[in-house]
Amino acid sequence: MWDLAVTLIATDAKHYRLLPFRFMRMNTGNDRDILLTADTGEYLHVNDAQLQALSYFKVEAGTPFYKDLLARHFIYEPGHHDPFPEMAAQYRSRKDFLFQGPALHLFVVTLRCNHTCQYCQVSRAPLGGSGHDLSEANARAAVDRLFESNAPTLTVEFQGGEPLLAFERVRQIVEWIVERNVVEQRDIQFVITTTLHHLTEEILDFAQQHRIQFSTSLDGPAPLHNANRPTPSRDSYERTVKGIQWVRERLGHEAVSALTTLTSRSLEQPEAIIDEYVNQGFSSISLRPLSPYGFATKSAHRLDYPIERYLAFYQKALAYLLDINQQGVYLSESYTSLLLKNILTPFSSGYVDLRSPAGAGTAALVYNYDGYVYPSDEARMLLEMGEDGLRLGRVQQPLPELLASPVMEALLSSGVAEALPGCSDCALVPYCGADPVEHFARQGDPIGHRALSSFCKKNMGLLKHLFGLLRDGDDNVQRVLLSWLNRRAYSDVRLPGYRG
Amino acid sequence: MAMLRKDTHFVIQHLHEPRLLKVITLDEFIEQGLAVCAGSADFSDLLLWLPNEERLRSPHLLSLPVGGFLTPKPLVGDFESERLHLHSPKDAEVVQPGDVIAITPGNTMARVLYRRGSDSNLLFMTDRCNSLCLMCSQPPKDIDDRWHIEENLRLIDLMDPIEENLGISGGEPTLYRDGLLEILAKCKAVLPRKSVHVLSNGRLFKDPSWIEALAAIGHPQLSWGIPLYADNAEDHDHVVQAPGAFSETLQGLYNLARAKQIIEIRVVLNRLTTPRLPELAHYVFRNLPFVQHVALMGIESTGLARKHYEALWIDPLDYQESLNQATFFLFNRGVPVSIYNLPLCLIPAHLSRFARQSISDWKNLFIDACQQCAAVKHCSGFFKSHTDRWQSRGVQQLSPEAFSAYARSAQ
Amino acid sequence: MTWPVTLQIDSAAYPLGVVQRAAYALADTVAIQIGIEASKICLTAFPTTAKLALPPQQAHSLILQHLNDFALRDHINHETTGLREVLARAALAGCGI
Repeated sequence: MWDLAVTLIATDAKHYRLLPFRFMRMNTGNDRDILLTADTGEYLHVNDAQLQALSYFKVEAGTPFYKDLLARHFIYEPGHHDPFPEMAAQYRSRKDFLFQGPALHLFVVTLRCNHTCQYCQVSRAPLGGSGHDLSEANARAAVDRLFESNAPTLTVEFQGGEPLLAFERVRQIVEWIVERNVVEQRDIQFVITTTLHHLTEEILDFAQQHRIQFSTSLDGPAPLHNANRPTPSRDSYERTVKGIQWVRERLGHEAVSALTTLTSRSLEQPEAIIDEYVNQGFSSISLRPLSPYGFATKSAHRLDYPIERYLAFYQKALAYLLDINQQGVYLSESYTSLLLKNILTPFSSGYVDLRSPAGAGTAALVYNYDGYVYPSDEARMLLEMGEDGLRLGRVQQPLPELLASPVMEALLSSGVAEALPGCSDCALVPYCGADPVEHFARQGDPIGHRALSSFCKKNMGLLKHLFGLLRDGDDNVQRVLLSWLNRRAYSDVRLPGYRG
Repeated sequence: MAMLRKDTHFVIQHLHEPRLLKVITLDEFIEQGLAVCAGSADFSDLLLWLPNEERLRSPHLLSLPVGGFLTPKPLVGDFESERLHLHSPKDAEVVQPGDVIAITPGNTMARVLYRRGSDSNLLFMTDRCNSLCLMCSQPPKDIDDRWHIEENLRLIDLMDPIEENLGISGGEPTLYRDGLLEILAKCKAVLPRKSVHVLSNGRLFKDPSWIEALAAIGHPQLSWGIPLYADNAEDHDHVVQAPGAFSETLQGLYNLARAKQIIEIRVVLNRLTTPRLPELAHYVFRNLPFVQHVALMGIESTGLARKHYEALWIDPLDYQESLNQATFFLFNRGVPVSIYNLPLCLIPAHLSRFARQSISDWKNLFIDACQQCAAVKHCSGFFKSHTDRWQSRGVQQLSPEAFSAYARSAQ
Repeated sequence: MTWPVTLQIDSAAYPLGVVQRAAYALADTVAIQIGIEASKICLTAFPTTAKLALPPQQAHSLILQHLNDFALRDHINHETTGLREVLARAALAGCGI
């Protein structure tokens, strides 16, 4: 069973032994204010006395607390039940994404765009000209790379600039993939990330044929959206909303999703942004903070904000969302839903930006317009800041070669949170991830310093807030959070049940 | 709805050896012949259902090449034949056309091994068991009863081929490993439309050689019902009175999952299992996420349960909160869950959507209080072993209004 | 109490690794200078620019709490040596990483 050379303590008056676990003080003033987490991701809220008793073998056998500690894999009884198989099963389930190749493939077909968004992470090439377009040869090579991943389910996402300005390339890529998939038989979903300003009937016909989904930016009500995302005709909001309606008419209500980018101005209006999403009939909203790439960095003094301001905004927005959900309006926050999945289930959410080992390169690949392959969208955005150090290689190189590049090695060695200083002791590590690219961008090195890391502060802030809600929130709050977890109607979650 | 027993006395004439026989009407015999049986059978396996009037009207029927005749009432007139004949059943309802019965020379008892239309038919494997659960409704016997295997293999041939549920249980069916595997293989071959559910404590599956054997069967609709009574070894092992059972069952569950089997977890609700029922639900969800169903079951007050009344009995009204917490914990996380063997009057309205009518027809009954109850057609009723001291203080008839509250909650 | 906040601790009770981890965790709040003399470790702490308003008494409590917590983590790690790696290896066998 325990196949290791471990010196066991000779005199065994202890009736139990410890299993690896971590703890964190929540600082909420609750009487069980210490969060214990096991390597399996199971958790318990305890107080100081209980933590001391647990750590120094003073918990009395047969008590409910003792049984909880056994069942949730904080302790075991040598010579009795061996919990190793079920612990390994949970751990494996959480890291399930490791057993397949990259599943998310981004094709940056052009950098041309008609917007001049303040926070844009990529340079905005003029509308005419094709100097910043993905060539046909490179596109073909990218499709070959795609199928070299063994993932049974693949998401193909078209990015830019504005991908619809290079629609002919998009069409080609989709057709090549569909043709090749007759043999490959994977489950493939196509997504186009677009402003929706350049839609045509032809594009929508094609989208309908291949069940392509659309993802767009909607920053909030018109004044906010237009202020964040200027266009020469100053009507970004109006054209985006028209685009949303058009896509829904042709392809169905769920064919388009939206996300926000939050500027300093956005942080002043959580309710207005959420109301806008309700008015536009969305069932999910993504309240993601600004990231440190591209123009966002250059205009940081105007746009950027300390992560604490984002966390304050998030708490207000979440409270408002919980409220309207209880009124019967279903609108989930997508990052929150991911975190809930990590906390409440033994399954991995698979989200590329929140996993350990990090998702850059292992979960996602970016085929850039310049013919190079990057491990993440953020990595290619760094390019636009003059930083080309995160290229995996040329798109003509076979995938195994790209994934064995020195860049990948550097990312992997700084991408395992459980091994990083700060993270390795953090109780939240089972639910969190590593983001070497973001740390490289913000702090200049892929590991970075956790205490100073906004990635860390963001995730810690959100996770602590959610743990607090799960422990202290009333029954109706539980019901909303559970409805997001399993994508059910609030009314379907009749009662919250055991909180675990 | 009265419970219907599975055996009754007949007057049996001209029986020379133990037989399994398929009861068949004349119409069926003419229209279907041997096709009424799912597998290989011959005419000598058929027992012709022959009411007195038909026999007296058409005496030539006695020369049909069947295995024997059954007169479903007291015999009228003479029976002029040396052929096998059953008549004058003590309870005329017990044996019906389509049923398969077992009879033995020197014994007037005919056992119904298969009942057409019952949906609770089962293949009984053995009285032996490797556990000794405190609430065991079928106390184990330490005997060699391998003969059940042959009987079951024969029985499979004589069942109706229709789609229905078929159980396999005991005792502990896995104790006769090769026999069980042979029976499962034959179910797949001969009864492909029947979904098979095996009740087992899963302990012997800790031996990984079962994985290949099970995966090889490839039955399209096979599932396993495995009990788990606690989230920790001490409590579970106490309930099943077998040290190490918890560990073995868990290893067995993982091996079943490796063999890609469909798994249901069963929990008998009693004083020992209900205090930590929510914690057990959490344990199942975290450690056994492949479980496809959880069955929470009211206790059957028979067998060993009677001896352990003090340790086991708890009024269902007193564990409603635990049941509520556990049920919704699982349901909210997408794990299908059902509540069995509890009358509707003891289940709060918001849990009624999980209640199933689950007590086998040959075991269930309703008491006096049920006569005016609006819910009687939807309720599982009580076990026939039910007695006063196992009766909740909450048993009561539901008015039509109360019952429609249940129906609405079940939406 | 005034700045800088100082603590003297016994290096047997609080090994250097524990002190380093505590200092790392508090890096956003206080900048800690670690000095080692025989069997004692001396900590000198100043508030960071983000936390200039932090009362020294509070900083002292915070540092002590972190030291104790990391000492406890050290104890837990000692009691569970090797188990984490065995678990990860068994769970992830066959994934190619």
